Amino acid sequence: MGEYIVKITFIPVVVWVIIVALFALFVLSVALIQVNVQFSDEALSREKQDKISGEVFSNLPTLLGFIGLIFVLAIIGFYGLAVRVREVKVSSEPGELVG
Amino acid sequence: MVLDALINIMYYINGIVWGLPAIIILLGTGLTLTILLGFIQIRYFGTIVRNMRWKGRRESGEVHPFKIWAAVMGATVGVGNIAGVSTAVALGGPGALFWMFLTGLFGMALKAVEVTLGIKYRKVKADGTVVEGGTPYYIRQVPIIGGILAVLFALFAFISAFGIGNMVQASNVAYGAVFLAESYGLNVTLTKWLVGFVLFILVALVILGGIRRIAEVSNYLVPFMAAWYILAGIGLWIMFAGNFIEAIITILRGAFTPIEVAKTTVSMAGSPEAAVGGVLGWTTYEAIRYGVARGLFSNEAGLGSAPNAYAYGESDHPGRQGFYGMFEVFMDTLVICMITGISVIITGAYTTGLTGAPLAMEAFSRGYGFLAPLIVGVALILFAFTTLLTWAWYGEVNWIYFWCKVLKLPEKPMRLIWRVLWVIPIIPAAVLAEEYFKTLWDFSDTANGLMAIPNLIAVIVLAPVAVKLLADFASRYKELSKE
Repeated sequence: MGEYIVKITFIPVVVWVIIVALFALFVLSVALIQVNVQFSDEALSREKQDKISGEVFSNLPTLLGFIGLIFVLAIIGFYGLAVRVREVKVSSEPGELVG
Repeated sequence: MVLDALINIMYYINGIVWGLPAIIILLGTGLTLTILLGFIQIRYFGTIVRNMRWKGRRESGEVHPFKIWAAVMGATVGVGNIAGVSTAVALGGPGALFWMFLTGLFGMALKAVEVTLGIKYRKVKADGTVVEGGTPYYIRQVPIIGGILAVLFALFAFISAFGIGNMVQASNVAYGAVFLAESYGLNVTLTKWLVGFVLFILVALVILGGIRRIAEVSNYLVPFMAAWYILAGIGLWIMFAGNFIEAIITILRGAFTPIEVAKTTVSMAGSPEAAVGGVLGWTTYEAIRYGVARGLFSNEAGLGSAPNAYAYGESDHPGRQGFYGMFEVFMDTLVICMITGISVIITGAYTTGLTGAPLAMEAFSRGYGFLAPLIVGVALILFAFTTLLTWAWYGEVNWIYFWCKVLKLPEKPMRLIWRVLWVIPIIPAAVLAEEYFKTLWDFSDTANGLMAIPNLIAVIVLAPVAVKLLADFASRYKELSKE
């Protein structure tokens, strides 16, 4: 069984926040571009426009609020870990042995 | 009035936890972990497959690793793999399959991390018996907020187990049987009662034996049901092999550009939804939205459900079960979901305007004719039945955590109470189905989505530990597997 030292840095959390934010931007950009999409059937085009507007742009505060909440909670948890320990000793044992 | 307000709040939360916000955070987390793990699911794919042959190590864990994998697979592969994927194609177009594929790929990393943590933070006796194990046990390791997050997770998990893990699945088994009954002219009401009664007996017999018996039964059922559906799907692909290249091109085109097709009529005789002209169209946004959503909710990566069972498997290294987790997502999303999705496209059934299980049924009937209800009906029954079994365990782990670890009630009677409670709703759910329980099911569906919040926070905070363990296992796989 191996024993390792894992250094606790903020890198994983920073990478996570950046990637989630970039993915959110990507989805919002696609929605923004496609909100005016035109199909040969006018009613279909209108239906799609209403759907994208209703789902994405009308719900933007909720979307950002939810993602923000998870960011804040994860950062609190990670901050707690980082201030308590700079390094974590990790063993590759499959669980803690108890009596 | 108050009840209406509560129901409205529930639907609002449901829209968040099963809508765009959750999709963004779950796929973003999967992508992050894929990068932190250096694309482990691609670089070590051969190891992921070879690892499935591992024989187990009795001194740590209770259940043979393949059997526990089969039990989890039984829960992961559900009616969503047929009806959900068809709905994704109906609502998101053929391009939804491309995004679903990517979701499966990134979901592999997310599942690997949560399963690894499940093994790492369990407690085991010297004889291999697992004293504590499951998702809330690693969530509580999160500093400051871990305790409350673990309690919330346990609460959400056992509430959702009753709804989506139990009543919805019992109803789905009945739905599959009704599918068969209607196709072959049998009495539908009698079929529902019969299914409810048989299901009640079978589930009671299995879950009274705990995770060991669930895994034992899954060990036989899951490979059979997977082979049944995969072989039928491949057979269909062979029948429509001439359309294969065109289907792949349509999927790729639909993933990045809006597409439009002429609506066609259905081939199933007597279908009430026979179409008569018009057009169908899908935007790229819809392809992403529905492809990612169905992929995520099919493989359950990030929800924290699977570690509740994996934690009881025999193991020699936490990373090993992480590799089992990756294979589970691979089989669920990259194989079984793709079987349904490509079948719907290759046969041209997606242009009919049908959705859900009837769309899959239309695809299979274009190749298999009158045998299609048998193929799809049996798959629906088995997929739902195995989900019902393993979710009993997922619920039990969290029920015990909530009542016994947190509120300190005695474990033995609480376990028995759970198992008795588990079988009670089966017959009503099978017979009365959705119209009587819709609000209750939506409530449990919301609880199911809420499970992702505490789990994702724990996964991100504890990711450095899991990443180290997975990298360690990957590099030492040969050495560990020789022992």
